[in-house]
Amino acid sequence: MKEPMIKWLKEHLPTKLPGVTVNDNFGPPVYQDGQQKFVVQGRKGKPDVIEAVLEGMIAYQRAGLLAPIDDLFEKWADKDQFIPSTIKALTLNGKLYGVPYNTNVRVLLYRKDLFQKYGLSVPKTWDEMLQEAATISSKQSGVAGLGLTTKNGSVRTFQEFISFFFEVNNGENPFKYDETGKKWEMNTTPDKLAKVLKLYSDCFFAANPSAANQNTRGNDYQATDTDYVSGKSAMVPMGPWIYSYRTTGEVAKKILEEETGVAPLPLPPGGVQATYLEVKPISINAFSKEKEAAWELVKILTSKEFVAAANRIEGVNPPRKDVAELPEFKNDWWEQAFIAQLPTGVALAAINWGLVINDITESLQKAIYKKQTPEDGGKELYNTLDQRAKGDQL
Amino acid sequence: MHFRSPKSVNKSVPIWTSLSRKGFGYAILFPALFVILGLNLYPTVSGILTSFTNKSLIDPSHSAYVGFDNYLKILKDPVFQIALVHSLELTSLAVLLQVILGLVMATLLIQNVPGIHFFRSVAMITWVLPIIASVVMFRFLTLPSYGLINIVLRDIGLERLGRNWFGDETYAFLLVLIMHLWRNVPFYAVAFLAAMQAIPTDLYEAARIDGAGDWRQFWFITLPNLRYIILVMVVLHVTFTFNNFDFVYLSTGGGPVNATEVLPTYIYKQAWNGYVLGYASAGGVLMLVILVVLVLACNSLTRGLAEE
Repeated sequence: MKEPMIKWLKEHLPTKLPGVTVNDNFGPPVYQDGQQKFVVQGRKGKPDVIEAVLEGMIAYQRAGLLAPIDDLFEKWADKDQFIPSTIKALTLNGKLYGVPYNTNVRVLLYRKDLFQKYGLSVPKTWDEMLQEAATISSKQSGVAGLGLTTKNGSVRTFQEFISFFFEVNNGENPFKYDETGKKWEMNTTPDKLAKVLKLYSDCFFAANPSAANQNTRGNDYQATDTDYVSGKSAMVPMGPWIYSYRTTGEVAKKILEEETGVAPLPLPPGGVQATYLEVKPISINAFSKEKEAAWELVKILTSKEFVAAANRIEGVNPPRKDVAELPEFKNDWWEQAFIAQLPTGVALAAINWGLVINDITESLQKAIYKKQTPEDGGKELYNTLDQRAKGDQL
Repeated sequence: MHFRSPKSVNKSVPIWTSLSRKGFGYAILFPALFVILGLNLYPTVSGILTSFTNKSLIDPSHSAYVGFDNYLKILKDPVFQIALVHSLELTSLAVLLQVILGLVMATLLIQNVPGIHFFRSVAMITWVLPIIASVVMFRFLTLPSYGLINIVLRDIGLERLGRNWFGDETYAFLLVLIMHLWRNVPFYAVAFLAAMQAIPTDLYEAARIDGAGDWRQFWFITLPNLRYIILVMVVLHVTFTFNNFDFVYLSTGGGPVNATEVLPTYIYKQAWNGYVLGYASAGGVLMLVILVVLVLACNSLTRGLAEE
């Protein structure tokens, strides 16, 4: 949680939640650390309220650490203000486990100035994206046409991969729950996984110079973000948070405010418009001894006032319709460009994604380091994921 | 004045006094014993027991005994095998090079030249820096677009050699090794320097009179006198390096394509990304066994040297 949000809470909580002392230790700044602590210590009942990323919330729910809040949410006057897809994402096995306070999707950011300079149009297909990126790589010195995050085990690497995968897989998750057999099973094919791996391979090898700079293989998210805002890449699959980089310098400010265009992610042949939907929930600890006060705190953290303040600071999208209607959001081209893509967002299935993320990023790296053909990679990844599903590891 | 022999003292102590002395001894031992048992023995035993179950952190109520299944599975996992090889390579290379470079650095630091006290004072800086700061520094140095190394290569006309060093499967492991050396060599050097300063100077004077040159003095006087400290440093750093998690996790996460994967990062991912605690514990137990074997091997190897 960023400092201004903590300041807002410290200022407002005493009046909004009278008679309740809220511990102002907001936990570790990194989700991974917070996740470890909550999984191990959550059963002690503290913290009463927890903020998470969707993958984390799914793990907490699987561990029995979250209280279902359907009844409380149904009685709340604000319930209809939330975008239905965000509520659906937080509904696991028919029960609601959190209220969203921010959301976003992955889109394609592109440099309008470079596209204009070389007479390019916004890519609508993967092939166009590869060709145009390769054109920019060859014509604009020091600039790669495309920037990608490909670090091993990185959540961002996974989020970019799964966005392209959703397009290939008809907007569906790679696993589906079999109600009769009461277990997860595969909901894709080796060919579909291979298609996405081939896209990554093509980004680095299909042209010379390549669409994406081979020297950026293994980049983490900071490098991807920094490369784009410093003009080292011309296109990136990205979320709205990057807009906060405009305060880091004049170059970043100019690129983000004047030279960046926002478009849906390009499509594969026969693909559907779909992308990774990020939803961040506020949930209640199932072992909390103060559930009533916890719910009051959840309502404050997902209220119109706080969501507006938090989303202005974070630069992401509000999951509340009334906040999206506020002038500062309605008249903001950046917010609107991302909000327009929210309906194409696909929420992750309610499985334990940890090892799946490792499997996917490992296969992706094998493809971009030429350790395996995309076809073989697709087959191997399918088999690994299938074994996880059959071995009850999801 | 009256003196009593030790024998007479023993005879004169009543049994209750002796017991209360023993009790006092146990009482002052207890806090340390409690900490050791509580913080070391209990988790170790608990980890060993967990390794025979399918315990999961996100499904803690369904833990069942699975025998040696976790061990059989983990030993067949190709990534575990890669991580094991990398851990052994990294440990042996890092410790060997640290000893050699530490000796070289200590030999330089012991010289009486102007300004040597300054160098002795700053030698430990790399060891004092937090590991995260060291890794961030190395990451910045090696960034593909803005890293100092690539900038220098570009400026001297060797741009073609520039790359994303941590993202390059050929160089990533080497960089991890360099980070270990960069941090630990000064620590070795300072330890060796202290031991060198304790060697009587008349040994060197006698050797010089007998016509021994610098190299023979080092080989026949310095090195034998450093055997004990070398033993201590090797045993300590075999443990440290084999267990080291931070350098790899923070710099490469084990990539690219598992090129830097080591056992601690592999086990961490199983435990905290996959929450498969039983499986991860099996990895931890295997690590413990390997480490005990390594330390025993180091001990016997260096004991031979020390007894010569």
